[in-house]
Amino acid sequence: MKSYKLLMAFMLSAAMFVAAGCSEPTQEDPGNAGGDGDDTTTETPGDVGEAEITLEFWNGFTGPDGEDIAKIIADFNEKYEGEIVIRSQTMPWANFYDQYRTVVTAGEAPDIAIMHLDQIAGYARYDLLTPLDELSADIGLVAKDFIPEVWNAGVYEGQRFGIPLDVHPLTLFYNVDLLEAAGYSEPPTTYDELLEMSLAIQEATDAWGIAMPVFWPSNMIFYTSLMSHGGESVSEDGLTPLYNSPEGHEALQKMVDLVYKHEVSPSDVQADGEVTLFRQGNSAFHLNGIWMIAGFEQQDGLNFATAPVPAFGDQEAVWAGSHNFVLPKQQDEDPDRLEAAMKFIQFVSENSLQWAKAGQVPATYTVLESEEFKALEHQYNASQQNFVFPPSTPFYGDAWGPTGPAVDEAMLGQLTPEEALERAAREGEANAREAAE
Amino acid sequence: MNVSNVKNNAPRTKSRRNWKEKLTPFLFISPHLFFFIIFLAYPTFYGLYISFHSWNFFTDMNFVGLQNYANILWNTDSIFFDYFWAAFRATLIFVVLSVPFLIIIPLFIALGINARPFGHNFFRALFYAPSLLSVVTVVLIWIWLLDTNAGLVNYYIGWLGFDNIPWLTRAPWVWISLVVMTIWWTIGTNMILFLAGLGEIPDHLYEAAKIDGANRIQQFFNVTLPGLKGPLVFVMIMTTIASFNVMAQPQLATNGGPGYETRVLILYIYEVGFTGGNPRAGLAAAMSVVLGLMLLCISLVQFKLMTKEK
Repeated sequence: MKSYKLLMAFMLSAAMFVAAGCSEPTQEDPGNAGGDGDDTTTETPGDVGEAEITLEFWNGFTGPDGEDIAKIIADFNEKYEGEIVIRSQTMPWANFYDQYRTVVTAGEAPDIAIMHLDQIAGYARYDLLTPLDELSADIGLVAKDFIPEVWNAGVYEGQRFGIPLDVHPLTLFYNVDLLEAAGYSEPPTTYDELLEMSLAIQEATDAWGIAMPVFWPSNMIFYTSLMSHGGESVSEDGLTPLYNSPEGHEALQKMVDLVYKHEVSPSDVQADGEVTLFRQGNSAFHLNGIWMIAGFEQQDGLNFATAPVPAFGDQEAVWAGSHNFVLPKQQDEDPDRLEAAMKFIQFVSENSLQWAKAGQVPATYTVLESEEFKALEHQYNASQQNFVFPPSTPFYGDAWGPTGPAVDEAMLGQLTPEEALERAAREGEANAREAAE
Repeated sequence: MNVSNVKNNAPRTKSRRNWKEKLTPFLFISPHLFFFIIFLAYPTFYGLYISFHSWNFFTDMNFVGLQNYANILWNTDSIFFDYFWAAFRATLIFVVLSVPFLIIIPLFIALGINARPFGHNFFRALFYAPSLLSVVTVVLIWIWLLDTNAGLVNYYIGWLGFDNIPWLTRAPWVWISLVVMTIWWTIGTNMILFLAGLGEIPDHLYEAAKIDGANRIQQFFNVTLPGLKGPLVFVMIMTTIASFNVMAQPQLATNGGPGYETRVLILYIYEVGFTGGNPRAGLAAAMSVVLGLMLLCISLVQFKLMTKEK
């Protein structure tokens, strides 16, 4: 009995303190639909040997998009053979930020990394990123080559810290066959058209008009609707939520109305339920990020197209995220290595057509306006939108975050839009103020 | 010379042997001790240390005394107070709903298989099989089955003439779904433990009970259950701890929703400590410590109650 007690005591302590450590892939990353590998892979793409400068490049492209970036890196390595070689480390986004934090604290940051736009300010705040204004000017990267919204979004407190690789906006997916069955050939451009067409499709077929998700990405749709109504997300300094406004209430009410008032969407659409319905051809419209393109293209029997998100309010505006290059601060700054890193960034920017094929909108006009990009119909249609990026502040996530659960509950009809947004704003303000202390 | 040498040597040999004897057990446990210190003892004390600081991984740690504990335990104005107790409530609901089933169902399956009916080996493998899957696989399978509008379960429910059930979006259904998928996933492990325990009960006890005229039910309560006391205590404590530490099921199936309904403690601790632009490691560590202490108390109470000699 005594040994049994000892065993118990050990097992208890072991179980208690071990179990808290696991981390599963989360749904929070919008930029990567197919990342399910858990391992970090290191590779040197291209058929090249040693070079004078070896640069570590970290990213989270574990899905099919990883192959596309590897092709670009291989081309770069071959072009600069003997001079510069890029070694890439790929890991799932959830692990990426965890590991990044660890190496940065240990002073062993990679030379180049890809970060989501909304993360940059948080790292810039602690002086962990290299300012890029002069470096990008030296290499000839200029504002007018980039979509202005995404270019401007990489600036924090007057200094540039990110060079955009792409833009991944929310977009409208629609089922071409279902629209034809109801006699339509063009996608809707406004909320009223969306409603009218949905009703007609429900009349003519067994499918739903649209499926509005309860959980993520419902608050990305809310952000889009809010912008379209002329509302604001959070204040410039990130400390005050501004979404609990008449515009916010209306923006959210219109989403809820699609479910309960107009009944063009089923209620209680759980995680990924809206994707299933669209894949099955059981809903005509689908609002999601552009990263779904690759998955839908593989779906047998799904004849879909993309279009700008119909304006829920009176303005055209959509949520968009962006992958950005950043140069983490090194303990010993070496101008040659920085220059080499900038050459790589410039090379990728100029050759981002390959990247667009992975299902992204390139950030540079040279690629955006090329015939090859126009031939990528889905990506091109999604690029014809007015992107609105969140303010560049380290507290955006704290102040905006509580809209997630709040929008969920509004979409379930458990809270009115006013109640939901009031609660979110109260929590968001407390969160942000605490973080800023 | 000789004499003095002998005199001097004798105690030295003895002390050397003593020293060796004392060292031997340490050599045996040293491999384990090494890993225990690196992966358990050190992180535990470091966690305790972090919990008294304000830290976001980048800046230096800032000593704040008990403030992290205050924010979750008695500072009712703090936003973290509400979040923490909502998460505690969610965890408690899950524990209360899941633990009884996770003990009773495997116990009865084990009893059935232990009776060695036709094909018992097949069924033993069948019930154990889900335990081999990763939690992501399990949750994905159940999300597809329980899809409100396109899932198999609601298809049959509709076929029977009932309305769709919002399995993964509304309380109380979310709890039922999470508990059912957890039961399906983990009964195998407890079943194996019970089976091993049942094998240990000597047959002559049952024979004696039969001779005394005990029927099946009386045999169960007077022979089987007392004979299973050891495994039962173990299973109960381990299952309670595992249920308190639930995270992946609500994270993947409901994302902690609707609202904050299924945001359990470990999930919230993870969110506070590791996600968002401003990680709060000190607060997360403080919550882990509080959870750890709660688990310790609950386990001790369970252990005392279950092993009390009649």
